[in-house]
Amino acid sequence: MEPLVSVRDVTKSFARGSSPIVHAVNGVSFDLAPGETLGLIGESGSGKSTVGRLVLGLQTPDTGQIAFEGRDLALLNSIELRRMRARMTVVFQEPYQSLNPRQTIRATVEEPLAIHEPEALRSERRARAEQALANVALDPSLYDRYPHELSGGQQQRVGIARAIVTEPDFVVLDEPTSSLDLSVRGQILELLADLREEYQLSYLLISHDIATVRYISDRIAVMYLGQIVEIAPAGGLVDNPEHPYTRGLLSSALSPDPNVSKAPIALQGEIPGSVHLPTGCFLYGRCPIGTLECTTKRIPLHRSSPDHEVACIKAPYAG
Amino acid sequence: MAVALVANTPLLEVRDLAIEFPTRGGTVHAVNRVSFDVQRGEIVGLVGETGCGKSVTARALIGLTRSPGRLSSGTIAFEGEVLGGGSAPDWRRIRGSSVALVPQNAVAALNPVLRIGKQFENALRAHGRGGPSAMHAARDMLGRVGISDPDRVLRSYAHELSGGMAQRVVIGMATILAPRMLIADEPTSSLDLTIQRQILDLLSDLSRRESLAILVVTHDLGVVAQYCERVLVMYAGKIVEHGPVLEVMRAPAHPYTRALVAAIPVPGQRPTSLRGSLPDLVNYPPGCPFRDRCDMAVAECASVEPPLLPNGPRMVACHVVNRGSGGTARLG
Repeated sequence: MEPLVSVRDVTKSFARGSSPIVHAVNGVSFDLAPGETLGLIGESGSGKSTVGRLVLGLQTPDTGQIAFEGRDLALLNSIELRRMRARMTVVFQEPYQSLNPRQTIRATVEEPLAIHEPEALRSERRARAEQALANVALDPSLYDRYPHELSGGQQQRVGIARAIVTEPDFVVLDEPTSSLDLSVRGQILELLADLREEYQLSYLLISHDIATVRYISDRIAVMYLGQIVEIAPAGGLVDNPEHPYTRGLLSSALSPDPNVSKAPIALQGEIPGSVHLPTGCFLYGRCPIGTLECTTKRIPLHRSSPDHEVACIKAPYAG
Repeated sequence: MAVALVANTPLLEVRDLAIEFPTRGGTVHAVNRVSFDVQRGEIVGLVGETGCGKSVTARALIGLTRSPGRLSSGTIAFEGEVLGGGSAPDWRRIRGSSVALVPQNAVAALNPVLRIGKQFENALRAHGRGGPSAMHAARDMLGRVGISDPDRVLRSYAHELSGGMAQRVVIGMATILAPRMLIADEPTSSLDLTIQRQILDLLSDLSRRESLAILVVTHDLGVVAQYCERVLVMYAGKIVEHGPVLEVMRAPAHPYTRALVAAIPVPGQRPTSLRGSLPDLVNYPPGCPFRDRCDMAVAECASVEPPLLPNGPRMVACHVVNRGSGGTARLG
């Protein structure tokens, strides 16, 4: 099956004025199958949000290709790219900040249709916006309200309705539940899971929260300093992490069960900046199992088992 | 006698604390008659969701209630002495030397145009400890919060520090006057997971080494379970459950605490959610503030406010829970 989204050897760096160049994404490749959800986890500065913007064509890679249904985004003209944007949408982290404070909920959700289907009748747009709002289970009494009158969870439902109203195939979810209270997060995750079935959606779920990603993803990719260090089916990655960074990240999560004792801190220090990249393995210096070889040698993702890929010299190679 | 009395007095005693915010839409009752103690050297978690009043409570303990908020009732006593005792407390004297704040966003809390060293010096001078020894004290303190090159950090500006480093600096500043208690308002929420652990370990070491009490305001139940001894659960400006972490987190009693614990995502399970939303804090409802979202509510919950009552080793504010266990005990 042809992948819906294909990312190949993508790099992206940012230079601003006289500031040093930030190497945000340093050679990332992955495929997303139709209907699949890929979770992208990493800490701040790992480049995960930049990958999200690149995949949506909101930024262009320095090198490498990003294709949607086999078509290289860089080769599309602006009209084609705009048309494509109806089929790949985004849900942002901060629902309130991503909504127009002067627009009613109804107008907010109608807007993408006005852009992408200007020929549609106003009544039809309205009906489809209302259908999208109904699909995110927002109470009709809120349709003519303004964003500030809604709770955080309701605002995020509006953000999701806006993302699905054009009936996309692919949605980037950029920390969709991080700003929400715990008791609301579950509802939003379930809603996203239900919509995936109903609209046959593929998701790229960007998050720093392992439990969130684990709940909804088919596969998980772990990013560190602009690279994917491990990618595997969600269960396999969480239960049997192979890369020392993944292990460190998973073990630093705090169990809400007071009887489960904390694992010792596995990763020392902090994520180094993305200005001067290390020559060898990017994790060297923080890694508990790094050897001298790792200071000079960085190995690419390789298969350690049929569906598990890892970028660590210590991980097994599977034929 | 007096000595024994002081030794038995809790470090911090909060009684019937109420804080309200007059707004155009009416008075918001953010904190509603909250009472609790903190003992010396103890780490206590204050948990709840957005709007529950946990940060407002914490800020009041250090005299940082944001305008136009005001304490409408209650007392705060520190080491047995009621702060202010009728007049406005001398917060400048208390802050830093008795109780200190570790803010949520360390980089934002630091002055962007002063070097870190200068900010330490200013803090010390304000408490009469300026002069040549100030830098020495600052350097020493940075070493104690795990900064390996204190001199470079003292010469730096806030924006030159990483998030974890800035949080260490802020913790150093908060503890340099040897306070007895820290108020840590979401101390690790803006930090990455691998750094969170380092900062929480540091706070827990400081608590143990220097017998420092810490009130950790957090929405993260993992932080509570792994670092706190006791937990206070707030909902709609009230404490609804209060007790040892081992009890409350393993077997939450109040329906709200139960819902919070059940909402923690567990791999392979559907996370549960709470329906509805917080009650209107302007027209604060009679009865139990949680009743509209509660599966256990009975008629009484709509009219009678459930008091916070002892229930085994914990305190719970729920008619149904308290009657259930109380009744069983009596019948048994």
